[in-house]
Amino acid sequence: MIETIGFHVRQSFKQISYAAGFQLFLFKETFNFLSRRRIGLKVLIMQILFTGVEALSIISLLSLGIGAVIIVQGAQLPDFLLGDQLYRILIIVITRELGPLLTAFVIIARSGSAITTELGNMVVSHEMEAYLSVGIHPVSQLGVPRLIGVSLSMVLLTMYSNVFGLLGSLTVSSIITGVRLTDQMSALFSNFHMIDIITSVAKSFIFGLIIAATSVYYGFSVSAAVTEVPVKTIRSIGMSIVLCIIADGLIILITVLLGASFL
Amino acid sequence: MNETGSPIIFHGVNIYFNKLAALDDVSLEFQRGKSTAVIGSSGSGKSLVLKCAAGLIFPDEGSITFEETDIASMKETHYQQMQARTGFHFQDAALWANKSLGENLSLPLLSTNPDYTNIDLKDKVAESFASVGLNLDPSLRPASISMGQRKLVSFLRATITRPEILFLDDPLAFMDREGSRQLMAKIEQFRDEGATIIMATHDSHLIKNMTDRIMVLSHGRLTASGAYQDVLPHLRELV
Repeated sequence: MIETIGFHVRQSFKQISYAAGFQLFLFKETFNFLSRRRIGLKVLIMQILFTGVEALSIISLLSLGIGAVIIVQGAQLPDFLLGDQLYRILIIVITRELGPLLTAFVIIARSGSAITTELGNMVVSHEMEAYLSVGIHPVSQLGVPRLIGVSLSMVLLTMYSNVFGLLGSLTVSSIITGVRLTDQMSALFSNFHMIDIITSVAKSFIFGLIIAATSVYYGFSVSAAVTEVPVKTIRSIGMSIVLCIIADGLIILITVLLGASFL
Repeated sequence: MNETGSPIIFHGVNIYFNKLAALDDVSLEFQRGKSTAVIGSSGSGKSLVLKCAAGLIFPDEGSITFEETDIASMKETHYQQMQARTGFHFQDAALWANKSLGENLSLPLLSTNPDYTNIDLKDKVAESFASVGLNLDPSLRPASISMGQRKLVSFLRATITRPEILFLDDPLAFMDREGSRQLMAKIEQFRDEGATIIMATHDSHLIKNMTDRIMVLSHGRLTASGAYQDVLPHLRELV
């Protein structure tokens, strides 16, 4: 019994040490990426195209819909649509919370799972060993461009999601209250604070790093069998969601501790 | 640097998969400028020996040295320099599926010299295809060509940088007669130019005519080693 517990503790410790070492290497290589000229650049461009550009339609549709639903549900509360408080609520809910989190979930489902699956299959088909055999570290060639690509795409997509979320809310609010959309927009802009944008950008960038680093790690952790790939993909998705939520909570805590105004 | 001796030496190497020894206390040396065949039945550890020697897999116990430096503890730049001097031809080709055939051949060149222009790379790829009589569009993906053609492209990828040491993992597997003939001619050319060739194979023609030394593996252990005549009794069972 004690021996079994000891074995599992040792195994867990080994896994955590390996994961930490892997992440350190990934981030170290990220700093070296710019000095390596052409190798990996195409992978970066393809990653931005897949994560950032191809997800635009689904992000805009989801954000528009959720932005509209917030107003439809909120309109059932008395005085919800009256006064400047509506704009602050929309900015806080959509820009600081829903935009980054919603975008993160879409990216986890779309790009995170794709990264783990692709890298896992490459391990199985010995393509990683082929990179090593020509003197290119696969983490530098495949992991780093994905880390940069997903993080940059996350920031841009979150901004895009914020715009569509707010647009959805204001459009429905305009229909319900009869106030012109342009007037609502100028009122919204006058309620924007710099901390709203900083929080949104910081969260989306950190979520991007978490999603990419987790997906890449699980992709590389496939050892030999094709059957491991879906298992690692599921773990990668679950772990990415958990880590993003923890990071979200920590960022909120830091913002509160630093005294940033919430309202 | 030892110019004539053994560039790669195994010192009591053990590798375990699920607590089972896939390589069991293997100690051996590969001679510079010689052609060595590693033979054995399926699962005897031939591919593993090649991958360990090439620094693609590190041993669980023991050590492997490349020119007297332990591969597992090499610095990154040293490891890259070692890889630039070696080429590995994989049993299942292992071409990068999401890259074109041209990119599969260009990447090793860029890895050794980032100053190659796109025109240089295009010329090198065309020259390389022509050298084995391949008439393929370099923009094709590996999935759109036959396994035999993939093996040839994989061989070209391993040799396009003119490595000093060439690892060939079952080079003639999946090859038709014409492809095998072309590949053997290229291997012979490399051997004649003084490259160190280390191959895992079952092919009797390769073993008899293109190797200076043969190593026999059984259940992860090195059971015999020597010239063709010396290991003939073992060969009868295996080839």
